[in-house]
Amino acid sequence: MPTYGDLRQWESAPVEGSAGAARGMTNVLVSLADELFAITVPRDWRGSAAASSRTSSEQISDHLDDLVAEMAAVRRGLHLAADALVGLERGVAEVESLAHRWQFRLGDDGSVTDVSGPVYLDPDKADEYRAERQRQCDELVDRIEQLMRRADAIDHELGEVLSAALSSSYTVSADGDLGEAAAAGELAVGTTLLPPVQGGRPGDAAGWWDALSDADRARVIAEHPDWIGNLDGIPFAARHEANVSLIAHTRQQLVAEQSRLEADLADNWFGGTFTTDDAALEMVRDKLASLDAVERTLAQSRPPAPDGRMLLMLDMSHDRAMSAISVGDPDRADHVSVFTPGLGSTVHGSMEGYDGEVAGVRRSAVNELQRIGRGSETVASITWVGYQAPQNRDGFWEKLYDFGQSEDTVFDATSAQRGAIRLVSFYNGIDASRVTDPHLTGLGHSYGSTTQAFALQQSTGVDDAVFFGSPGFGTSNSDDIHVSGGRYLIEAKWDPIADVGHFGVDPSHLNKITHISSGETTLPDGRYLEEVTGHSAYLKSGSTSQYNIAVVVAGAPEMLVTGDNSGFGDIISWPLPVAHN
Amino acid sequence: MSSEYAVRIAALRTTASTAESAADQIHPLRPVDGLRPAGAAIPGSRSAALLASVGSRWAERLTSLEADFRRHANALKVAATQYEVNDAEAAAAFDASYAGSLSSWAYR
Repeated sequence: MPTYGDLRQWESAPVEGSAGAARGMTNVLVSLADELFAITVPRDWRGSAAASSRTSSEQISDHLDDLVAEMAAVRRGLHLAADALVGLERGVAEVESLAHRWQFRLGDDGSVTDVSGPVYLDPDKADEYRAERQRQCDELVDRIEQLMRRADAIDHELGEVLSAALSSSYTVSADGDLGEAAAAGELAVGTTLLPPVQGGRPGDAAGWWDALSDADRARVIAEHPDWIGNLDGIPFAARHEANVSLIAHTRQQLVAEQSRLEADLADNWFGGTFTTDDAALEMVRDKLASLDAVERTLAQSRPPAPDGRMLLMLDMSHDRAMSAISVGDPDRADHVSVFTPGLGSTVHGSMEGYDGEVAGVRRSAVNELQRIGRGSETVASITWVGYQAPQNRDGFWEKLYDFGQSEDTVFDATSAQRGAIRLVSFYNGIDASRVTDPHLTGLGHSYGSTTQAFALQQSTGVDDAVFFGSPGFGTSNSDDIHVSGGRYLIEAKWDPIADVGHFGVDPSHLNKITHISSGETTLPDGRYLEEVTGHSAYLKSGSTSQYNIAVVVAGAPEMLVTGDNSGFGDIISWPLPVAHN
Repeated sequence: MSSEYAVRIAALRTTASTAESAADQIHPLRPVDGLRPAGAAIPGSRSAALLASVGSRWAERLTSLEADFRRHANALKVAATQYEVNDAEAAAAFDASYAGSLSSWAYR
């Protein structure tokens, strides 16, 4: 079993060189085909000696067939190994580069040691710093694990080819057709794609992907798009390609399921009264509508347009479809934002609308960057409907049930906590999939801000976070929200949800939160921005709140319009006692 | 064993020289040298050790194949020579026998 120190020395070029040498020897032997034909018994030669000579030449031919096939197989094995080693070299170079940049030392035994030395830490940022160091260390550990796994797979596959050669497994019956023997040998050797590790972290996925050759990556997208479509840590361009390729197949499966459920219901005298078929049919129809919504959203613009849409996630494995779509390229953008919506969010009902609003935020961020002379910086904005957001349910009794019992309700934190697990992975996947981390901003609205807040209690790589219309952070201590930059809160007038403080205290009353305005304002350059009120207008184009969100996304906090817009709801939501951080 | 044969001795010699040519082409092949760089490029791997074994195996097989071609060539040359000798002896015997017949006929 090789060590990581061994892997540092592994090289593809000499292996390809040996494949070339094997090819050269194979070609020499294949070129003997004419000679082999010539040494068979001359046509006019008959008799006992001729028979002996024929036997002799046939034996030579058989030996040559087998040797040619064996050499061709080993040549192919070496070539495939060399191709795979190119990916492995890239993976090693990537992890070495990251370790150097992040100031970690990688041992030959695969150990990761922090060599950053003593640093002065602002006490308020110490936790964030340590969490970030741990996140970086974990990513390096995960990447090395994946490199070792990949190296083991390459060694195993080549070893199998070589063992087969040593046990004479490449015998062929080519009757002296040496070209056929060589082809048979080559055909006997293939590669098995190494799947990503199950249940791994984004660093595992990134390490796995980095160590794949270009040919293997293309094969993964073509043959196993389901492996990577929703796998955090994989570059989004590959995820987009995989997810787009899955739409048609997913639709076929859903249509078939819809037909089956419709037939079952039609055959049942009681309809769906005593079964769950009617509910299941409704879910399938919603998922089909979700695919329509995704396709319509993607159709608005495609890469390489600067605002090209990319399908970063498409997941039909839960009751409701989940998806994430970016405007702009999150693999390359300097600034990336992730918008997490709240109550009632669905792909079929909300994606197009949110995409339009998120595109507006991105447009504003790009405009503001241009205004301050940073027009070369790029922005990608993501709408993340990547969790089962609670849904509005009709009827008094359903609402009462939700309040008391159901986890799929805005009154319960379960959806937010479960969503946060997925959101943490998605955030970390952004950094893990890139060579350089972007300036990453989390945008959470309503119940989505609670989901975001639960996520940011973990290590995520998020730099800035904006919470708007938030019913609470799931904590009453703002220090629990780990971001390296700022925590920003927007609360519009007459937004009752922002005052309920259902998940922890009303965030309006937390310290170490920067309150940014949603009221009308005139900017120093004379532009007028309008006020928004209520719970659902924070992303309105031309509003102060949208402007503020955009400048946070652009990494330009000096341009913020601060100030809170507290109202009567904040007075009655004031916590007793008030000693919250 | 058949007691009948037909042969073109020149064709046998040509075939023998073709077999020798094949052996000559095999002779310079050095599989151990060819595979050594790959083994050295993946230290610590199981494949590195296996590559050395495969190189040795190929060297043995190529040596054996070369020898087979040369043996075959030699056998053809020996056969050609033997045919020549046999033909000469047969011709001589024939001539001797035929000449005796002619003599007896001529003198009859």
